[in-house]
Amino acid sequence: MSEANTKKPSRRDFNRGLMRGAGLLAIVGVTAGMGRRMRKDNTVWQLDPDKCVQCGRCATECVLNPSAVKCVHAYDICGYCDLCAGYHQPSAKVTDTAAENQLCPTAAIKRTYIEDPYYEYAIEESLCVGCGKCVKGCGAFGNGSLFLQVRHDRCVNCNDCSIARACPANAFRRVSAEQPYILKGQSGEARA
Amino acid sequence: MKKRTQQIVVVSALLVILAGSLFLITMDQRKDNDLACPAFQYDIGSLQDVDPALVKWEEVMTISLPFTMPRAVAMGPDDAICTAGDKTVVVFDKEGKQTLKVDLDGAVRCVAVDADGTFFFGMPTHVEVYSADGQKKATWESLGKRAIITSIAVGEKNVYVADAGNKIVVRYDKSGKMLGRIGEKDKARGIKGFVVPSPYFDLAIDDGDKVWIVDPGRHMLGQYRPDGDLISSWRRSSSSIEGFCGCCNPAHIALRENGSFVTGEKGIVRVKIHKPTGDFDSVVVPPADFKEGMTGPDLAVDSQDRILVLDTAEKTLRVFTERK
Amino acid sequence: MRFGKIIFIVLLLSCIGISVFAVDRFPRPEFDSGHVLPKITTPGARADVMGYVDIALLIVALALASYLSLKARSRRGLRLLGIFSLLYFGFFRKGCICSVGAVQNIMLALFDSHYAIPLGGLAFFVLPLVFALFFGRAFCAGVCPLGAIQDVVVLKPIRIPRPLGLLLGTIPYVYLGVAVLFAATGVGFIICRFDPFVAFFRFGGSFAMLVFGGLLLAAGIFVARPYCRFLCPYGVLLGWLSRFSKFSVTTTPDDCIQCRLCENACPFDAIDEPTPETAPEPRAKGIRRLAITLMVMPICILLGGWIGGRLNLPLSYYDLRVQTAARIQQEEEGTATGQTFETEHFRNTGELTNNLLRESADRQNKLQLGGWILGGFIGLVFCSRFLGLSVRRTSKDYGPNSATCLSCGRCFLSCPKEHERLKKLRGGGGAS
Repeated sequence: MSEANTKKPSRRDFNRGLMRGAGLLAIVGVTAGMGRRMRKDNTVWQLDPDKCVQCGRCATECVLNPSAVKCVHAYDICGYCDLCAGYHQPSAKVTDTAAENQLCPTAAIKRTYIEDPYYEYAIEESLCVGCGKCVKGCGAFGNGSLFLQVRHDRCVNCNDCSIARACPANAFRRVSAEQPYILKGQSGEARA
Repeated sequence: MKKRTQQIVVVSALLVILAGSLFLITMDQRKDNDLACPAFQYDIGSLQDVDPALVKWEEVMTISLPFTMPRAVAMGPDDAICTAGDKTVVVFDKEGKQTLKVDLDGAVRCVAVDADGTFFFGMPTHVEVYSADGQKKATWESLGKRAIITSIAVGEKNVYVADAGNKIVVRYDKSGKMLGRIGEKDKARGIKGFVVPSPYFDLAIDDGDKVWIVDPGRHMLGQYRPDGDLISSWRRSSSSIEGFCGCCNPAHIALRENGSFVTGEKGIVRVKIHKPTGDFDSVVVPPADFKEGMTGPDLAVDSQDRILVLDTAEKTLRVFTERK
Repeated sequence: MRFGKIIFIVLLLSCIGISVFAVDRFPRPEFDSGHVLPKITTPGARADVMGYVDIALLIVALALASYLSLKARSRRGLRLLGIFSLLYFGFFRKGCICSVGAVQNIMLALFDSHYAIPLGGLAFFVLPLVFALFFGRAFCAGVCPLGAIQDVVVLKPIRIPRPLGLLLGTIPYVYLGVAVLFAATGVGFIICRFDPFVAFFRFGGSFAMLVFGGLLLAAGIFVARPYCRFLCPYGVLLGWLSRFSKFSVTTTPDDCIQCRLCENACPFDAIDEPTPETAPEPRAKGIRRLAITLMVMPICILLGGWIGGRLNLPLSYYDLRVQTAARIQQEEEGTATGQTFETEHFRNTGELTNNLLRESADRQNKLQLGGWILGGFIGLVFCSRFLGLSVRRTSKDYGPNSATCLSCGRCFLSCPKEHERLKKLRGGGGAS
């Protein structure tokens, strides 16, 4: 009896040790295998404005409310128009700031007179919900200086971005946290 | 008894979780139209509808073009059709048969043909002149780094060049000597300058040497004397069919024999006729007849009053005549 | 690797080429008033250095949890550690990064050459497993925020009938299998998507997520830590490794005196009862059992694989791209009229339909192969779990099952020997 008592656990311990070794080997194997597929910097989500079709899902699919996606403005490719297709309703008759003439559902675009005949448009990010309505208007009639971007001061960087999943244009991808934006304009002039 | 209650609690708790997860998964998979918030949808659908009674022109001929990006169309002598795109110029006769093909050194953006068949190409910072048989004759001085030449028109003595980048029209003689500039800001003369927010800036020769210039940001057309004095103008801002909408329209114009205007618009892509007074007359091509990805179409009118429309989406030249 | 980089650069260049083509360079207006253009603001992403802080805190928390569960035997310490983890990894880090979902990143990195896993993702996957191999499920005890939030609401735990527990215990294997399959084929990360508590950590999320999380917490009052026991896919891996861990949590600090006081102390039903001493099995019977096992096992695997292979269509419909592709095909064949949200906007992108269809078909093929493997795996799991029932384990004492024990420390104080130890400790402490 006592013999069995001392013998049995030791054999079991040996088996456990063996399996533990195998487990450790597996973990080391996975880590080593990953070593080549590893990057030091973190990745964050961003959307490619060239692929974006402004379907409106950025506003509805983000886990945050309001969304971490906002409209941003590449001032250097803006035409500074009086009648702005990103600011005014397509049916607007007069170019003023009256609410019924504004396209933005949350009135998040501020219009400022610069000099005749130029007006500047700026996004009030705290009001913007990232629906992309203005982006579509600007792209359809104007220069496409308005575009959507994931704002990293808000984004919680979900492992599985729920907007990315729902994006019908496949515009979302992981980018390096060092260069977390895909901008129009500034880079646009350089690349032409 | 107590154990029984416990088990009931357990089973019901787990059932609740199960039901919850199934609910969650089905909720999550429901992805269809009613998830799209209508307030977030940009809708120009209704503006694109055109009353069919207003469409008074029909397509009679289609010429397919060998360009990846067609850029321009212009009429030459004997109704020769000159088209340009990429780095190539192709000339057709009025039946659509190719008569000449010229390969250029750079990307061509716009084109004009003189009465003797000489070609003027916008390249797009300078003008190049080619003879009627496709030999290079001259390269004019560049208008600077900012220049984007979007249109050229040749009159009896003058060549007008529209530079969208610098937002001016430059007048040359036919040898390339600069004679004057139209539309430079001048407070003393009350000239505010053209509003050109995007590279769409067109002009057309009228009555020998006068020129009609589009001020796209103001939705305005103005007739100028060679020295730059404004003779007359009209503007129509409207999102409905009667006028022009968006940031910069009309993108292209052409003049008909009877003095009325053919206008090609971007944004809501359409081709219309405006009377000499500027009032809307009829529709040549409604938005529904253009494919997705179409920009403002370049236009030309031949001596038989046929309208030629450059379709950049289909990469064709479409020819229209008025319905009888 | 090099080749991949070249492809990447080519792709990048072609993207730039396309955008040059699409957007004309156009000079902006020059202002007489000297107005200066504002710049686009680009608020930065979270600094990488914070990622190292996360990893460091993970290591410290794991070490502390191991120490508290094995050496200090302090339930209170573990509870405090759990609350810290809940606050930091849960509410502060908003539930991402998390070890439970990291297995998907590993899988994606293995099968998708375009994806490289961040160092943090790898560390969060590997470290808890290494600790499990040596110190049991210390991660579950006080580091995992998902466990910690459920641990708080364990108020009236009741025993689950053993067969039910066994049956529900197979769900995590299925969940893990499906999650690995979806991650490997690039369909998506379902573990993250159906993470029930992340909506709480962020104080917001879809209604469905909040309901699911709420239900789990409500059920968790009676059925202790239901997610950990009946859903958590990472728990499967931790269980496999902790089964062979070098040191395991024991209820008693000393020899078991068979007092049975700990019998009901574990809310997770993880304490094994001693099996009654029986006569050794006749050799013939053992051989016959082995033969049956060897016969049944392949049948189970093949059957599971066959079923799994058939599941590729329903599985693929989880993927929105595949759904869109199917719908587009229907619309073009004329079997469906009108456009859906997806197909309408897909057409707006100008991407070629053939690309989408090819991608979709490719994904379905992968899912078919993966479905076979997944089915086989699940067949193996079912088979071994239920055959495992017939295998006799001899244990003489009451004690936690090293695979299912979450190292929470709730059973410590039920043992009279523990009280003796504490008394001695206090006495010793007083004397010194």
